[in-house]
Amino acid sequence: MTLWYKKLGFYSNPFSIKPAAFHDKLVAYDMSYIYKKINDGEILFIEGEYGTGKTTILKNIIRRFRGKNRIIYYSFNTGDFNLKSLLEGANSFLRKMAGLRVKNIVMLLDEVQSLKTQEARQLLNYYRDGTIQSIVFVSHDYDNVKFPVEIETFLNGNILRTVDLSLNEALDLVKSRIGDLDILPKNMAAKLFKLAGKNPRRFFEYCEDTIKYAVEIGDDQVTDFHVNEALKDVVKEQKKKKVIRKLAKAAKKTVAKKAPVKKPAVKKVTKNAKAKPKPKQTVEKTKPASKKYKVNKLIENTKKSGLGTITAKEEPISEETESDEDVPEYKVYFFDK
Amino acid sequence: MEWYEKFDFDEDPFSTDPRENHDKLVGMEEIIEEIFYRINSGSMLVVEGPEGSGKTTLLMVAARKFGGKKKVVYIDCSVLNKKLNITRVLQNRYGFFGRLFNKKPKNMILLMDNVHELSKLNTERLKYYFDQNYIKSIIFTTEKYSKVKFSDSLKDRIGKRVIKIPKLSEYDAVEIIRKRINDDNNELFNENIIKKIFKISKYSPKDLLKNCARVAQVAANKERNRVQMIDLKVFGKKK
Repeated sequence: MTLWYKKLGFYSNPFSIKPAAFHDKLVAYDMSYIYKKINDGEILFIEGEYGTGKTTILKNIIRRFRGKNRIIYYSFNTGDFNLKSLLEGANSFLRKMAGLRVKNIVMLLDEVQSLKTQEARQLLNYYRDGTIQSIVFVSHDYDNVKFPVEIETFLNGNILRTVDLSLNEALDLVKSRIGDLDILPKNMAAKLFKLAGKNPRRFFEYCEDTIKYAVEIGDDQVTDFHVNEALKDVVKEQKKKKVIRKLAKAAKKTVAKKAPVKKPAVKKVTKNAKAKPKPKQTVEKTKPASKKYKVNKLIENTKKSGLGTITAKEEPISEETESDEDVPEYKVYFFDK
Repeated sequence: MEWYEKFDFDEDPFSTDPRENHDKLVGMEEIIEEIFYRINSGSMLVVEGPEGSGKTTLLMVAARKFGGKKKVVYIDCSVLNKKLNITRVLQNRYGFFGRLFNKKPKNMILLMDNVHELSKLNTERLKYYFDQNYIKSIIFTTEKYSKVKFSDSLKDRIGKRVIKIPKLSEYDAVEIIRKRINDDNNELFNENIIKKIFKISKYSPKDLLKNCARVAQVAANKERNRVQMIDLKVFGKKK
């Protein structure tokens, strides 16, 4: 049995969710803004829901600054964090012999929610030293992180949030993966995007599953039928949610109209309140606005903040990367005990 | 003299060792196909099934298919008593110098058995290696996915890629035994007897094999070359 993507002429899975597998041009983000901040030696914080592209942003930063022993990537949840040995590991042998210390390091710190305040202070000391030029913190929620006050003042205004993709950007993403193949028509891609709740990672997964299903049956184009068959469970859940939402609305109305006790209506409300995930999300979204610090939204299309477009500045970087397809050359340092 | 030698077998035909029986799976074609596809396309997959339903055997099938290029690593997490060091596991394929220069492999395939035994800390680095393409694909097996202590970001990467091993039908059970003893003429086991044993062993393939071995042993002790309904009394007494 041949694999579906080989039938279509791809060597490997075009919808892989690994940030390293594809040199994705970031669709919705202005990377030059981030590069500039790093060059200026500022501390950044990137937050965003799971699967919205945090690691991909990091990956792009790594590609930009690699090659000169300047990048250190560390993921916090692995346990012991030893900053000194990490920094020493980044020093080259000759420099060590000459007694020189590392300089201008760019630290990328993932999953910072388990960062301890003492470690954060240590980081800040090195940052003031000049050994660390810039720090990029990454976590899925800024509110979960316990930073000491000093760092918070440094972070002022540099909290970036990954944003929901727009439909056009999603279509661009698909195009960047499979080119101009007409196997996935635009309206179907839109449907999948809606099913995925605008989450890029989910979106890729669903694309993979439906196209796989269609190709294995022997069809050239994805239709409603393929989506419904390949994503049975997801479609079912979606329908359930819809029904629940409708019921909740109806229940609210009835409660509002006839406020005094009516048992069945009240029951409905309590049940639905537990089953409804949507309102919670909206609350989360509104949170960052109430923070002390301003949140920079890096949407390409925003007219309010003239951050500029990506396309012009991105191209030279991607040309570089196309030439070397192997494992990235940058060094990654882990600390083992 | 062992009991199976009386029936002209060289080895125990009802062995439950996953390593020996990778070619004798019944009713798993879809799951095997799914596993092969996920490994090829580079993603994570969780296989869920109760004890004795053939999870380890499935992994062995995958190991057979993709093995041979030093790419496949099988880890049984229930045997680990220390912290699992994925870095070391991945680097083990290299010799001394490879490890000295901190060489990183590419496109490895991890088969992890009994993941519910893992603590949260142990699984963290998996995500990083997966993202950076050092690990191509991972197949996890567990008894219940809800009991697994993965971090949220790892769970998000798995998404809905969880498949359950389906329950065997009676027909499949008969086929399993047939495959084991190459017996098409109902010589040793009658079809009805197999179905009954299957019921007694609560529809678990592993228990079915164990019980069949036990019954066959009884028959052998009685110098008979057929298993009869009377032999099933072995189980009746316990109840």
